[in-house]
Amino acid sequence: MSLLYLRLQLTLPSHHLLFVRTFRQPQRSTEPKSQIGEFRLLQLTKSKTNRNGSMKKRIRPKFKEVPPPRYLRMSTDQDWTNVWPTATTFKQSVVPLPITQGYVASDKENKGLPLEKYANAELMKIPNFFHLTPNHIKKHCAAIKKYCTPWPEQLDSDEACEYYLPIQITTHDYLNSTPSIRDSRARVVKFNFKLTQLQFDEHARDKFIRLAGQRYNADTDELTLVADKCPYRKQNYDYAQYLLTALYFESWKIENWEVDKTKNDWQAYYWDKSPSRARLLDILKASEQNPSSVDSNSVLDHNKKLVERYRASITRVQDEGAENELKNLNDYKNDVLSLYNLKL
Amino acid sequence: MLWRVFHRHASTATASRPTNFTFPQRINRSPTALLESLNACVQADGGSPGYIYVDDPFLIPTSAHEKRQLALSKSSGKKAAQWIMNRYSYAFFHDVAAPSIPSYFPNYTFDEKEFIEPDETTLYKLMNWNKIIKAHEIYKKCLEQNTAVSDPCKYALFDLLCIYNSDNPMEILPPEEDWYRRELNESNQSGLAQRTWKENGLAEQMFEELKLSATPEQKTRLYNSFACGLFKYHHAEKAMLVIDEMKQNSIQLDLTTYNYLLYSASLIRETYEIRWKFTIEYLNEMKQNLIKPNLRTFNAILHTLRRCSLFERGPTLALSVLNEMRQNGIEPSLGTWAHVIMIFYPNDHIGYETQILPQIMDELEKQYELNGKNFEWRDIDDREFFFNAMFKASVNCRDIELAKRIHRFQMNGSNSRFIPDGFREQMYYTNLFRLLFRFDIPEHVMPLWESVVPNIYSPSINIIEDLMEFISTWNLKDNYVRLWSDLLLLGFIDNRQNNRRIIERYLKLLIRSDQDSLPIEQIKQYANIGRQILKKFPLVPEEDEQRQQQPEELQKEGNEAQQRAKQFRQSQPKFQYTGHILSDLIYLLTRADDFEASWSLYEHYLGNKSTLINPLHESSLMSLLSLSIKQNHVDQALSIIETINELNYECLSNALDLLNRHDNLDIKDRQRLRAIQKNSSLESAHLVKLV
Repeated sequence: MSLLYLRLQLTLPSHHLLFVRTFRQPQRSTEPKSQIGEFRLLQLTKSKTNRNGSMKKRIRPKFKEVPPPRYLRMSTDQDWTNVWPTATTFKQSVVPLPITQGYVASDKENKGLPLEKYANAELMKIPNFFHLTPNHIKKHCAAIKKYCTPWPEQLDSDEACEYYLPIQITTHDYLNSTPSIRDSRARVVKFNFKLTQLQFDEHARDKFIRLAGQRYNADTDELTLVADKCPYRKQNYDYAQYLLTALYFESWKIENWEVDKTKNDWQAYYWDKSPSRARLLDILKASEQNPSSVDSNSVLDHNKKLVERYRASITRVQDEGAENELKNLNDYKNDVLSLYNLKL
Repeated sequence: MLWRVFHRHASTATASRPTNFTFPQRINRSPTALLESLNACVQADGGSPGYIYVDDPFLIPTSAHEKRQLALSKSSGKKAAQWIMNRYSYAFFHDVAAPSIPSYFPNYTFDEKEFIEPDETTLYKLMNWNKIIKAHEIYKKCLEQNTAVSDPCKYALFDLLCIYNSDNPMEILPPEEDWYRRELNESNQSGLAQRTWKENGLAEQMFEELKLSATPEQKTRLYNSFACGLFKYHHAEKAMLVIDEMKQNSIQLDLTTYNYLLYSASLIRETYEIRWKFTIEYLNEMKQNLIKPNLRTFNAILHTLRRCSLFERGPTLALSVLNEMRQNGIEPSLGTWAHVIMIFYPNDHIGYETQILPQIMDELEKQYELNGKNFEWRDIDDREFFFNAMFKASVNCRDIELAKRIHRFQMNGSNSRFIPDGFREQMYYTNLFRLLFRFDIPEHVMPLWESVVPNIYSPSINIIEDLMEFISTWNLKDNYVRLWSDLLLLGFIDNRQNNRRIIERYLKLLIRSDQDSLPIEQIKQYANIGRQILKKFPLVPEEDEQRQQQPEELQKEGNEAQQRAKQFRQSQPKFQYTGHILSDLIYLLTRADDFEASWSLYEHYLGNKSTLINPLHESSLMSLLSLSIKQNHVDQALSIIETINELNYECLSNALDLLNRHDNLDIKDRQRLRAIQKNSSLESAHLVKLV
């Protein structure tokens, strides 16, 4: 009734406006509307008084019959690996378990009650492991077993592995669901091995460790080389190999300036090169009946046991810090006394 | 160099170890081998919808129509995207993928400038972009301009012209559409060999041209390609001329040409014996020329044998061909067996005694195990196997165990991909269920049915009718309600003419089961089904109601869209109730003591008596009467009795008796009753003594 009433009140500017569209579809018509003088009126939206005619009834969408959720028809002895073969988002219609997540927070509703799986968006957000049940794993292992070789018999212990496979080379492959299969992190190559696997003399080993710097872990005696400067893995691998080779052979070289090393540059106390040894020899020789006839080696052999003890204790006093200083000094005192047959 | 650095004898603990250590050899595999073998361990699950559909109850299509609509819309969307991409190709240059995926990019658009001074690279580019006709045009232009075109390029172009019949290759359908190709492309439905070769086409022109300048090696390639093209497009006579020419010029045929020749033998020679002789002749020639046959060769021979239907020597020859295959070390593929089946069962009646199909299944199952539970596509004929096997198992053998065995084999791993299109799948399942419904027991059939319907197979109306027949013969009461929901889901309850038949039959089922005493729950369920039908198909259509309510003025000004909608509505068939359906519904509703609903149905009947087909049934009228008496609706009861009288039903006497015994009748009512009795033409009615 009201619509009819409205229409009677209207003065209609043009015939076209009789059939205006309903207000649900505001559209700027291209036809000329009401005019004042030579200018058209700007009408951004239809004026409300122009609304006439019956409102178009919105067609109710027809929904098809919705089947009940799948889990109702599942048998109890079905093979779950076929129902959920791969990783997917949680689907309430498929999982036949009474899973809940979260709780009702509103005071007005059932506060504190858990929310069921139906229309529970939280369950879809979290990752699930329905595709990795023990049965799945068994099945997958059986399927790809044909591509596996048996474990070599010789590698029966960790030592054996270390023995036969002295170096460990680590690279990483990255798999993302993106259009690109590239990942810059895949270029990094890591070499890892124990220093005992290499042949060294004392100097070479010392030099090697010094050259390696922080890459050497003294606690585990392991050296780690990481190469990531080049853009590709192969290049980094080659570079790491080069680095290792160069390090090794460099450490065996003795440069001219290394000969100039004095006692102050020692990284440890070498008794054999120290003036302490020369003086000990002098004293021991002097104590012999015929000092000119004996050479230094035979003198040392004579007192081998005592000399060894003396050497150990003096090295300890020189090398070790303040920790056991008292004990070390005590030992040193006792050794000196016994060596020279002195008594306090 | 590096490894010499490491010394293995340094640590004393390992000094005793032997020095030699051999790494295990890596087992070679393709980049996707792991994925493939993981994929092979997933069995088909009838519960989940196909991969192209979204797995959500609201979005899973169940009826065949819906599936088709969804799949085709999806492929249409893809095509639209492709079209936009090709139309506005300048906008699609951003490449995020590494390695780049060419098919995600617009097609290359050739610039006319490139054709001004064409050379060989232009030709190759055109060929790569499947522009064969244009390539030929440009080739001509090159010749005119005296631009050098190398021989390999020429021959590549000629090969393409032969392969694609002097035309640009057809666009590849998206897989969703490919499934329905049989319904979509009208041409060559029958599968008959029609001659489609283009006479005097570009290929022939180029052949004549190249023939003049070819060296012997080039001639071999030239003639072989040409002959293959002719055979491929079924121009056998001309192909034979070419082959004769080849023999005269002593040009050797290659394996592909021999295969085509053997495949087309049935087009070349008329009678069966001569065809076989022809085949043998060419096989001997192959032997002389030291050409080793492949799988395709044998399949082609069997194809020819199959085209000799009812040839007495067919089966024995087929077996000898199989033997020959084994001796050549070629494992028969599914396509080979498909041909063998058709040779042994040439029509619907012959071949049961040979028991070849069970033997083939034995063989295949063994082979499947040996192959690591995976069959590969080996020949184009492989697609026919399951269809042929099921067809012959159900029509010729009528062996339910065999049919189920074939089906089990089909469901194994990814074997179902050997059913290549929707039509063949439909036929496969139709054959299977036809057979099972006829000969098997419900305990076996129903689980199989439920494992396949509706996600893998959406049955056609004939199979649904067979199912209802099956359910009614075995009187499977537990399945009645389930059947209703299946009917709804599979889209059989709608306005279409055929489906009224389905509803009628279904209601018959419900009524029939009503004979024995039913639990109340079931009666209520059945009544609910009745109400659902009424809700789905209102007695008075909604639009009519609205139109009556609207003032006339408003109706006149309906715009074009509304009129179109109205026309559309009118063009759609309306659901027409018949007397049968109405009386069945009344019966169902009165059983559940729903007087209101059943009375409105009865009134509808009275109002449209003249237009309705079939009157109401006796039984439903009687049950409505007893309900109205029970609920004390005397006027209505009298009206029902009048109707019974009008229809001259025998039960009038019972009806009179029933109402007569009712206490609440006043004098007027009794007079009406008497009047009815007087007017009745039935003798039995007059026997009832009215108070």
